[in-house]
Amino acid sequence: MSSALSTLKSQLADVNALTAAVTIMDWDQQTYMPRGGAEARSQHLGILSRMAHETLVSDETRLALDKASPEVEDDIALLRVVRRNIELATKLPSALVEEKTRLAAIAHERWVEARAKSDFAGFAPTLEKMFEIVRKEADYLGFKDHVYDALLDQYEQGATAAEVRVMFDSIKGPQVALVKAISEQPVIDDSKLYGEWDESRQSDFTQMLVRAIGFDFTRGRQDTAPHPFCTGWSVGDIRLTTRYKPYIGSAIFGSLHEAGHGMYEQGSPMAWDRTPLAGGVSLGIHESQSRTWENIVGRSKPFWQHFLPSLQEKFPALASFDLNSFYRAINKVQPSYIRVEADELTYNLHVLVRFEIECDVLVGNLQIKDLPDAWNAKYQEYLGLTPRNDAEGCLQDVHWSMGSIGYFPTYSMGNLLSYQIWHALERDLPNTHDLMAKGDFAPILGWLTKNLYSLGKKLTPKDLIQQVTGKPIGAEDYLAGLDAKYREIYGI
Amino acid sequence: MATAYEDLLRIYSDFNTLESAISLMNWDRQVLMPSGGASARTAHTEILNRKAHALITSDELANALVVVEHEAEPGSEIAALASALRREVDIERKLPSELVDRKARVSSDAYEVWKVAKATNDFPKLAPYYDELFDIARETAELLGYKDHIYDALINLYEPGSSCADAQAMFESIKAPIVDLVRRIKEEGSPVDDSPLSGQWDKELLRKLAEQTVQTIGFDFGRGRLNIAPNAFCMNLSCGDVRMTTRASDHIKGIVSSSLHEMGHALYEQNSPKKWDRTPLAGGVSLAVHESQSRLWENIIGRSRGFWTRFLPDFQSALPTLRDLSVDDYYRAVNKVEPEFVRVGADELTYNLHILIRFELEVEILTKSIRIVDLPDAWNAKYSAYMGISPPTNTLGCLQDVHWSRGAVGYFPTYAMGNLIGAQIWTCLQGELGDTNALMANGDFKPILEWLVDKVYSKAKLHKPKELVKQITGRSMEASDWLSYATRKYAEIYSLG
Repeated sequence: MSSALSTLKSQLADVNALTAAVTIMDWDQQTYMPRGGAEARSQHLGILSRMAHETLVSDETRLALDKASPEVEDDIALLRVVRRNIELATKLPSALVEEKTRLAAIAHERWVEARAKSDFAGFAPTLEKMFEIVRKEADYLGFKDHVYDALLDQYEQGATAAEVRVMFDSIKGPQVALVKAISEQPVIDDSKLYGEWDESRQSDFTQMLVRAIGFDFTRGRQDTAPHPFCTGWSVGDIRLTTRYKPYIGSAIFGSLHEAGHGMYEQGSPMAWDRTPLAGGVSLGIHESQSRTWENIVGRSKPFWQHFLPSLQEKFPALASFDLNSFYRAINKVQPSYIRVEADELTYNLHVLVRFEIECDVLVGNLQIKDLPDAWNAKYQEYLGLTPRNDAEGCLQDVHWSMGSIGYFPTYSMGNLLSYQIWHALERDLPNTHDLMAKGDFAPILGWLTKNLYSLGKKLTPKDLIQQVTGKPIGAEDYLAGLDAKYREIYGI
Repeated sequence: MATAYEDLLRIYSDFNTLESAISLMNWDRQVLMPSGGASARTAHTEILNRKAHALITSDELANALVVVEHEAEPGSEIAALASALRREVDIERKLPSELVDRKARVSSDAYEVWKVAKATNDFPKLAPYYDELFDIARETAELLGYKDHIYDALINLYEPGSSCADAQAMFESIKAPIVDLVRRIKEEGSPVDDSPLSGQWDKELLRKLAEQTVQTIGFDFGRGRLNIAPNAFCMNLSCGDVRMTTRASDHIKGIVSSSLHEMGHALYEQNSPKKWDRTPLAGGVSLAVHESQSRLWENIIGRSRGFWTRFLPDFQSALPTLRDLSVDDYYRAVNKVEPEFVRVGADELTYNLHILIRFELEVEILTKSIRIVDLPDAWNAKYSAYMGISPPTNTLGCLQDVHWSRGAVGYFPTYAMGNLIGAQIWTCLQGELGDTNALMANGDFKPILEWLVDKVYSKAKLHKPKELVKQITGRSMEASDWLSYATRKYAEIYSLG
């Protein structure tokens, strides 16, 4: 007779297969699907999400979970993760889940259109519906202090709006001060990084970089999409996307960023493939890895000591850069409109804007129709500039169209954690500078895989951070790291 | 409260969703998937298949279907929908999940072994799998039931309402004329040179030409795609998302034929009415009718003089080595007849002989007139008898097709039926549209496509395949139109007396 545990695992395998179907359909919609497929796709996504949800919360799964007892050590973590997943899911009625998925598919199309035409009004009714659904979600999920807590917890287990406020409070002052000090220095000229770059050369070069740092192309691929992202449905099949822009750094750093996510996913043990233990444990920690590879590695001097010659070979227009001027150019600090292209320093201010707007809309302090004005006002206040249109303002991100509200703060958490984890890594690997200069990323990826990636979801996010770095999330390493880096670059 | 009809549509829509997910996963597997994704992909599609099977065989659906059948007005759209679904449900319910799982497992293993066996000319390696898959086919046939011949149950899986006798009669009527025509071409025909059609061309350039060509004809890229894959195929996720693949090739015939072939399938699916999308009425009605469209576009249209009058200049400007060819040279080259070992890529005439051989062998294996171990000899003997050539290896012989390793027995005749039905429909179309050659030469494919949409594609599964053929052409499927088309065409090309 099969044990409750094996019944549970077989139910979870079904959930995993249905979720994989949702994920690949979503990936396909953003990469290869012809426009005519959108309508059926939205139906299909809605139905598959409902099936996945119903299977997860079915009596059969829940009964098996109640009766299941661990047979091996990993089962303890498995049961913990599943219990949380079911708890999150049972709180949401399946009709709501299906409604949200269906709306998200339509909203994605609307958002793409609205962004192309910079037409917020065309997107507003859909966005309004999305916020309504999300508000309902929060009510079903429940919260103690703030409606935002319920949403944030889905992405970052245990985190709260109050914690996020504390985080922003501790970094806002020092960052604004540093940005101000930088603004008093001569402006770095990075104009040569803008041009008409051949797309297939960019694709070749970024794939070479991503391969060199350790992303395994026998277990993944990179395609083009309007918005860079990383997704996947197996430890053996992780998909990255990138995009090509006049700023050559868009493709380069976007690709390194997504590869950081991708390597985290590829680092899960194969034995956990298709189980809830595989994959990154939380969005904040996930983002710490994308930011590590994008910024700490990808925007470092030794990294470009190694790769600048091959970049210049591919793009002769960049030949006049020496290492130092290139390093300074890619680390230029300048408040800008677009989050995904923001420098390391101002990035968190972009996130802060979104966090505050989400809170305001959710509690009813801000109406959707007034969102562009609120957005622009905050950009003026924190970054000193006002977007010229909504395409480079409040229509720039894909998140809200997907109903991912409460998600943005995890980006800032990731920034903090990237330096905190790197700090721990450097205790064991003091020579990262030399390794990167040689293009030898294996020891770095090895350390991260051993201490972080291979643990999947075995520990809770907070326990994992404690285990890897010896302390809870804090701003100290992050602020120290940025301070040292940018004082050197700007000669402050 | 939901009516039985609403229940039926809802359950079918869930089923269709799972099928679409599986299709997308299969498309991705063949077009994009990294090798590391294979094991999870297999596991995922197995689970989704099991879930789809559970839905289509559910009592809830069966009960709703009975009520709908009872209540539907005879001849109504709902009655047609119920009848299309009835067929699907009956087949699935007759097959126990143990057998379905076994076939999935064995054919999945067999497919991997087939790839190796074909690459290494190692028939004995694959033989035990063929043995088991033919056993499964026999068992399937017994469970499905049949009146006259075990083959009836299997062919009926692919071609509703068809029988072994139908296939036999069809081959009887075309075999001798084809063999005779091929012999005359060999003995009396003025030689055709098709060497200019292959060259060291950029594969991407050829793919683009194929893309341009299908777009000019009427394939809607807003509702579909064309990618390169190891195998050419067409699959649809909805009438708004129909995807074709074509094989990378440095041979014009290869890439153009396979693209036009898949385009024929794709046009059929793209023009299934939107209101029937994701219901049992959507999509092509049977494999043979489907194949009639792929073969019509590939051969009757795509190898016609009118077609190349329109497209040769495009090809010549992209591929300068073709510039010396006249439309007539080119027309003759793409229609060169030559018995070859491999079915895929065979010319229009000998193609049916390839199919005949497979049909006869399937019947003989099923009825145990020959054993699997003797398959290579039997295969080669038939190639000698019908085509006058004997494959030097099994790779070029009985290991060339994927079908049997996937457990698809009874499938092959639909290819030949497609040829006949295609010609029959075309004859009818010409009767109404007049000079199709002139239309094609002007690049005016719209009236042709519109006629086909009106008479065939927009009907989707509203009628049973045999009824549909009769409705369009006024007759049941027969060989006369194809035979006179082929005789006239090749007598002219080869200047036969």
